[in-house]
Amino acid sequence: SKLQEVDSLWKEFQTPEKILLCPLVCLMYLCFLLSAATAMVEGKIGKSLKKVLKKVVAKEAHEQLAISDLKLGGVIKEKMNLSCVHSPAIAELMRGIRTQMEGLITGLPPREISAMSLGLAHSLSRYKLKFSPDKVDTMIVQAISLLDDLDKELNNYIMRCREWYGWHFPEVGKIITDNLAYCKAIQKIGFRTNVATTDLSDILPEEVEAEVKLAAEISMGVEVSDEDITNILHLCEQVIEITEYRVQLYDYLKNRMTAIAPNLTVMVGELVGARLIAHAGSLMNLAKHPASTVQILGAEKALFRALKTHKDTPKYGLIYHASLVGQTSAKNKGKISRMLAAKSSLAIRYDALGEDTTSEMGIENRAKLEVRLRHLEDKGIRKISGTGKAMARADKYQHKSDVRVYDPSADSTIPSTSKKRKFEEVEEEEEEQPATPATKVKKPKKEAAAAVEEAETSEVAEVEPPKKKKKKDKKAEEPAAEEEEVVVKSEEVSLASPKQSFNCSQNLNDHITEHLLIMGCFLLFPDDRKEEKEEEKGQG
Amino acid sequence: MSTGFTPRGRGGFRGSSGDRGGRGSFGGGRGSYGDRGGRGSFGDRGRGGFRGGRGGSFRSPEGGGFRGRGGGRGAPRGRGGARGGFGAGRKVIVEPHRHEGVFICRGKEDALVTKNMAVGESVYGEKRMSVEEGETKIEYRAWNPFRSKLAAAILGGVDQIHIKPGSKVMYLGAASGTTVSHVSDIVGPEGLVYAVEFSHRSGRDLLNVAKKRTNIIPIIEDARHPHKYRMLVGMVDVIFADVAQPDQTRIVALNAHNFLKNGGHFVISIKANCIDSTAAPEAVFASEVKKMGAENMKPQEQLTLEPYERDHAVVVGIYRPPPKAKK
Amino acid sequence: MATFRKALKSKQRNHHERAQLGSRNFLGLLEKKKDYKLRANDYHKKQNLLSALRRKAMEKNPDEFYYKMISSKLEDGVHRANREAWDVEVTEEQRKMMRTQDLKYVEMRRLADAKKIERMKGELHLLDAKGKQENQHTFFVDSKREVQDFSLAERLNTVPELVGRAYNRPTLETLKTKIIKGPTDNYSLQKLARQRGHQYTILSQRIERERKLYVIGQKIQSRREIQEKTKRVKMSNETKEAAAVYKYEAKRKR
Repeated sequence: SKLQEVDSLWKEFQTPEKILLCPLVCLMYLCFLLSAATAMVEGKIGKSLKKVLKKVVAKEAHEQLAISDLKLGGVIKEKMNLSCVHSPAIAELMRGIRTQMEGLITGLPPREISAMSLGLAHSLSRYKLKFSPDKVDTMIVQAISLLDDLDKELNNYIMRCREWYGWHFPEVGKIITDNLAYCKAIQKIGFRTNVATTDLSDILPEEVEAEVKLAAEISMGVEVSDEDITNILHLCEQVIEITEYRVQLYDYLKNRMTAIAPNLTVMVGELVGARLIAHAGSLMNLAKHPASTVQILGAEKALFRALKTHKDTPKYGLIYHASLVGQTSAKNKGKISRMLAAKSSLAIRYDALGEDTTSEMGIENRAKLEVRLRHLEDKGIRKISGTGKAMARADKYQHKSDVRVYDPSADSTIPSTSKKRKFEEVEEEEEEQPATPATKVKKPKKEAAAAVEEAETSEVAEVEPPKKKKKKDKKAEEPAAEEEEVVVKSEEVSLASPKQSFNCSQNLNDHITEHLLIMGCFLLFPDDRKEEKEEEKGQG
Repeated sequence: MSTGFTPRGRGGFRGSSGDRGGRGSFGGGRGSYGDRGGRGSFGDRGRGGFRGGRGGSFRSPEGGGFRGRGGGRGAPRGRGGARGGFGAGRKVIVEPHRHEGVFICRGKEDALVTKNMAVGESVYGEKRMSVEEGETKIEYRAWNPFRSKLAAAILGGVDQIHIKPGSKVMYLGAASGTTVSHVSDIVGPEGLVYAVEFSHRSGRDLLNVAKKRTNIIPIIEDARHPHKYRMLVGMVDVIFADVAQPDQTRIVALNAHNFLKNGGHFVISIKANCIDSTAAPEAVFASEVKKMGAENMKPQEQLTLEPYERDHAVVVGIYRPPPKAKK
Repeated sequence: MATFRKALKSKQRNHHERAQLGSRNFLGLLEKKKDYKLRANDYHKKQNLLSALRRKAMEKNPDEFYYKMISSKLEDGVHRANREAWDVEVTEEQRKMMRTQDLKYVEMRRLADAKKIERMKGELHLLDAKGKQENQHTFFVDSKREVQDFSLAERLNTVPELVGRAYNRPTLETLKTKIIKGPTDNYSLQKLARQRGHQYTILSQRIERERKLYVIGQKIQSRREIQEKTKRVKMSNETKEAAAVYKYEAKRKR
């Protein structure tokens, strides 16, 4: 009956005392758990609501339940068999209750209510926006800035450390070029008088260690006190710690990048991707840039200079450091950087705005780009007419004029049986040569020549690039070592051109047969004949 | 003393790139002049500065706001004695506004400002001004009337906005939280702002703003269904609506029926183009006012937002006014 | 790689050259060393050319003869080579390229101005500016009597002198209790007013410049498009304020 006069209802709600409220309503408003709230929003019955309603069913099943949400009312009626009522009068009632809520719910100060609703609102909104904490790109921006800062600081510290310790033992700074090794070494050494007794084999390679030990004897550095050394060693500790932390940070950055922007990571790599995001400010900002901007992000100075002086604008910015651009020839870098920028801006947008992103799209795009890259590189090596797949071959320019030189091969006193074998091999190889493509022939040829030359001069060195170098005369080592080297080299050679049956070295166990090998090379490589002959002469 | 300047163009400071309708955005410095088809009329469309004939030339603002304006009524104490004891070295004059919590900052800049609740942070890149007051430094944030309808209304001379320190405000159409942050500055830590926004993109920005200011309660829901956020909101004193929808009066009415106290006020910003793009703006405003009357919302004043916006109006009114005692 | 580590430097700001003062603009560009060098080199080049020509004139052989002398003509006392039809100063391609570069430059300056305008409008809110468009303020009252008796000062609860000051009409309460913070003497107020006026001048100059650059950009663009071969109809002529407007045939671009 009280509900009939809608308009005057508000009078009733002037003060809280006039209302008697059954515990039911109190509990309804206290259902401030997120699950309950979301359930109510979606029109379903949450657990706590169900509990309360069950109590109602138990107590006063004949009464009607005033409800403000029609959908919820329908659901309650279905499930709990409780009749619900909704009318403008009910709405007025709700208004009144809401106005006096603080007074009605005892034991809950208004600050707490507002704090509760604030927390609930934030959780609800986050739930709505599917806010995931691992999609926050601030981490990336901060991490990459920290990485740069660390690098700068590390550089400063290392320079300082070198300078400082160089006062005491300057030679070691020039001997050990690697910074981390330097710091670890001097941390172990301390005073240069201890060098002889310290074992640096786990930090430095042997020759370097030997050099250090040698230099310690004849060092011209000044004596320093214990305190000084202690401080220097503290600094070294710091440097080592920071270097290790940097490695950790780099790992962290890689993980974050793969989590936040997997497609971008696949396309350009973690470091370049992180720099792009940091430069733009956030992933969303980066997604708003057109592909042409992504291409020259980081080259703004050059861009504006070019625009002001009416010159050509730069072709690449930060994207230059991506692996795809790095591995092309200089001619094609511009084209590749444009293509990469276009595809990676798609990847960026997919990462920033898509939901539940995997890296499939990035992998596909990267594959496409690599195919195109290959086509670009091959463009000059394809025939215009004839079969589409035939490669046009450009013959290397060979100087054809015939210079006759005295052939000392006949002067050798070594029995000539193996020579014939050599010739057969040579003939086989000469037959095989025309079949293989020109470009591939060059490299293995050169490598073989280099390998053989090394074997000849028995140099202890790493893999030679296929260039001619001036060889030093070094003492000959045991044949075994040579053989191993030659084996290694020829294995590499054989990997390069499997068709060449240059595996004869595997059977070599003789200095003599090596010698024959070299002579065989004379016949194979007419260009190198002169130089090798001279060397031969030199060796005698 | 006015140092007169006349802009070479015809009137209006609105003549800038933002109003060039339909041209689209020119991507940074490299002039991506897109569509070939869209070579329509260059003329006056959207280039606000050339509004046919209206607005003559500008003259500079006159110096010294309050000074020289008669000491007639009420001998305001503020004129006479202590002005807080500052010398001639101060750079900025801060004038309290008619509306509490809002100020006018005049120095090299000529701006409407609010006191910053989250000191040291800019929400949308607006200018911040620090003013020393004895030992403390107070930071004010500039409130751009070209972007915010509420600021344009305040500078247009609206009588009451009803948003005071300590009041509870419901803000419908909060967008990215730019104006919401200023309202939060005004209501202060004692008040509350319930910011309702439906779009998810803007909602993310709104959430970031709400993180820094604890008196903003972000609600990412459709304002058309107030029952969906009924558990988050108590009764409010003022509803501010900037939703730009054709049925915005109905939306405000729904929310008012649910959450606005008796005798509470509403402030609605109406965009004539959005309600009915063919009718004259005055007619649109009149029809909206009539719709309000039907919902027991009594309008008290209406003002247009020139020179900051075109064809916009703000209506302020009272909901369920208390019955007047008969004389 | 060193260049990679220097990538951080991509965020560094450029240091700008100082330009001529606004008040000395009538004297032209402020000359820097590089401008002087250009001028000096140009002068010396010309002087060298002149002295070389003088020398040549002195050493001239009066009996020289070349077959081209038969067909070549004197234009204004100067021998001019007969230009071939294909031998133009600037090729079409070059002209197109130069136009693109100009367009990009113009666009860049326009955008820089537009951004600055946006930033300035955030601070300069036209509070006291005279001549701005007046808005309309309507009050709703209950009866005709109230309309007749309406007094703005009373309704707004303020002093009548402040009624014209729309941007801030403090109430009587505010006038009584609140204070203005800042300098109060005439000198400071006038100085601040001057500075404010100056800022407004700069803002209006920037708006004007942005408009002009827009027009220039449109004109360059339309000249570039005229070079294409598609059919067009001229809708309006080129004026000082606007580029020419053409309507093009609607053809799908392949």
